[in-house]
Formats: sequence, C-alpha cells, structure tokens
Amino acid sequence: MGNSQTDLELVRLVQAGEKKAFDVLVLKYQQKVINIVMRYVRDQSTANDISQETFIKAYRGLKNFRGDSAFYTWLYRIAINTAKNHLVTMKRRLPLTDIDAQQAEQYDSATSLREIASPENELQKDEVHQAIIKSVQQLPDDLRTAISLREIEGFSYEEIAEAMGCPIGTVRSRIFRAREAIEEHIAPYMT
Amino acid sequence: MKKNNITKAEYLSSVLDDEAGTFEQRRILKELQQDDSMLSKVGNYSLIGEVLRNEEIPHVVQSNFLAGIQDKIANEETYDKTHITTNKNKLLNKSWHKPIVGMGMAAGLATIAIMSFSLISPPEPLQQQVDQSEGVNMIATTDEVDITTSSDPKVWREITKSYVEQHSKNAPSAMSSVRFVSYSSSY
Repeated sequence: MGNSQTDLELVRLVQAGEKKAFDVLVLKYQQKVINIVMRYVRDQSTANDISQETFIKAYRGLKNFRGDSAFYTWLYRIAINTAKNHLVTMKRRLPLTDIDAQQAEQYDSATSLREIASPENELQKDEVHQAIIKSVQQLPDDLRTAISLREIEGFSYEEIAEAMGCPIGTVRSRIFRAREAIEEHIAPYMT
Repeated sequence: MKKNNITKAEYLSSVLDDEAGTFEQRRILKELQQDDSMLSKVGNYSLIGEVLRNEEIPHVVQSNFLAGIQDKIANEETYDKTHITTNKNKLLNKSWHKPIVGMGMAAGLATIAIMSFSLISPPEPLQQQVDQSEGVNMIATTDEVDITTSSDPKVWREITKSYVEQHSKNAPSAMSSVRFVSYSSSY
C-alpha cells in the first residue's frame, strides 16, 4: 500500500473543508490501525476506542500535516502514541517488543489476534478470513495471479503487465474483477 | 447504468492502488463522497488486501466504527475557515511592507544613478549636441526652405522626398511621418 497521491489528494480535500473525504481515509486504514493498536491492548472493544481516538486526533492534526512523510506513517505514529498513552493511563506495562510506525506496516498481528476474547468476534473473524481465502482459491488463474502480485508482492500495474504479458488496462480489469469476486463472498459478513 | 457503475468501481480499485491518473483520481474521490456503496468498497478492498498480505485472521471492524468517528468530528470546525483564514492573515500581515520597501530601494538607486551620471559626464552645450546629431541636419535641411511661404507643390514634394530619404537612412527602424499644416484656403 504505497503513499499515495490518493492519500495526499484526500488530505487536501479534508483541509479544504470536505469532511466526507476523511471517511475514505478511515475506511482505507481502519483495519491497519486496529491491527497496530491490538499489539498494545488485547481487548477488541478498547482497541476500537483507541483506534477511533487515533482517527479523531488525526483529523484534528491534519491542519499541521504538510505531506513531508507518508500519510499512513503519520497516522500509524498517532495510533502507536495513543495506544501507549492509554497504557500509561491504565498503568499497564508496555509490550516487551515495541514497534515503530515503519515496522507497523509489516506487522504481523497473528499473536495478539489469537489471544482475543469474545467467541462471536472470533467466529466472525474466522468466517471472513475463510471466505476471503476460499474465494481467492476459486478465482480463475489470471485473476488470482494479478491480485496476488498486487496485494502480496506489492507490484505496480506496469510490473504486473510485464510479468503477465498483457496490457496495463487488462491488469486493472483483472485486479478489479478479483476484488469484486472476493467482495461478493464476504458481503454477508460485512453487514 | 450498470456499465457506468462497473467502470466507476474499476476506477476506484485503481485509485486505491494509486494507479489512476490525476483527473480520474479527483473525479472518483469526489464521487465517493456522495456514494455510500462505493464508500463501503474502500473498506472491503482494504480488508481483502490486509488478509492477503498477512495471511492471518483480520480483526473485524465494528460496523459503527466509522459512524462513531463521524459523530465525534461532526462538531469539529471544518478546515477551510480556520486554516485558510489564518494563512491568509499571515500573508496579509507579511505582504503590506514588502512593496513599500521595494519601491523605496528602487527610488534610492535611481536617484543615486542619476546623480552619478550628472557628476561624471557634465552636460555639453545644447548647440554642440545638435551639431553632432545627424538627425538634426535633416531638420536643418527642412528649415532652409520656408515652407510656410511656399505654395508650389513641387517644392513640397521635394522637401517631403528629402525628409523621407534622410529618415530612412538615419532611422530605418522607425516609421517616418510628415504632417503638413496650412491655414491657407487658396488651394
């Protein structure tokens, strides 16, 4: 997930007074922010509160955001600081393996995920996960390759086009069709 | 209609990958703000990416997550008023003295230049300047004939011709012009 002319454009829109543009940033990064916060707190409800606070702080701080660093790095830093402050307030110990905003991008949230309570949450998470993995496996080869190269390898459309020997327009279409097919499978869990 | 939606969603997919042009990017981001179904795709596409990258079970974001943020920032002031006004005020405060200082410096330099020029090269007598100028010879030539008293068109033509020739010779880049003034009504 690179930064992002799209992020900068969204920031510019928010700074110009279009609050709705901030919703897009929230939807784009909510998953990532919750994953980071879950590194510090183990209760999902608390993690949600801290993540919401992160976005509110980000909204308030956007007037000072100049785009010197990537938006998501800046956002992750806020998330980490907010989580740490929460722990200080709660007088809990900070996690032994601290992470910074850059590391957060590559952060694998598996450990903390497995320790989360709430059977309903667990069931829903598992169902969503299974639905995504299963739908990717069911995709036609060309769609699966395109979405994998994009999301797992982080290839650009141009690189994918070169790897798959097809035009960029075809790559764009394949990635979109793959996403649509996967989204169809997870839609029942997202309402 | 359906085709348009598909195209829009396809562009959204490429915008989120940062693979769309600036024009499409701006158009889609603008449209996103009025289209909730498109907006929900942003969250879903992001979730799909997270799962594929981490190959782990994702945290399920509560359905009221965004609504909670929207409620809390609803009362926040929008940026354009505070942010832009502040910048504008800063600009206004800074900008008023710049032209005045600039003009003052320019005027000072001009005065010094004029004074230096006057001191270094004292003015020559006016007649000497006139004599050195070829252009004035032309005027002197015209002065040799008393145009005001001559009513012969041939004389006028010769004078005009001579003037134009000299003008072309001495100032080829400037357009020549001759203006005749007469108070006579006899012709």
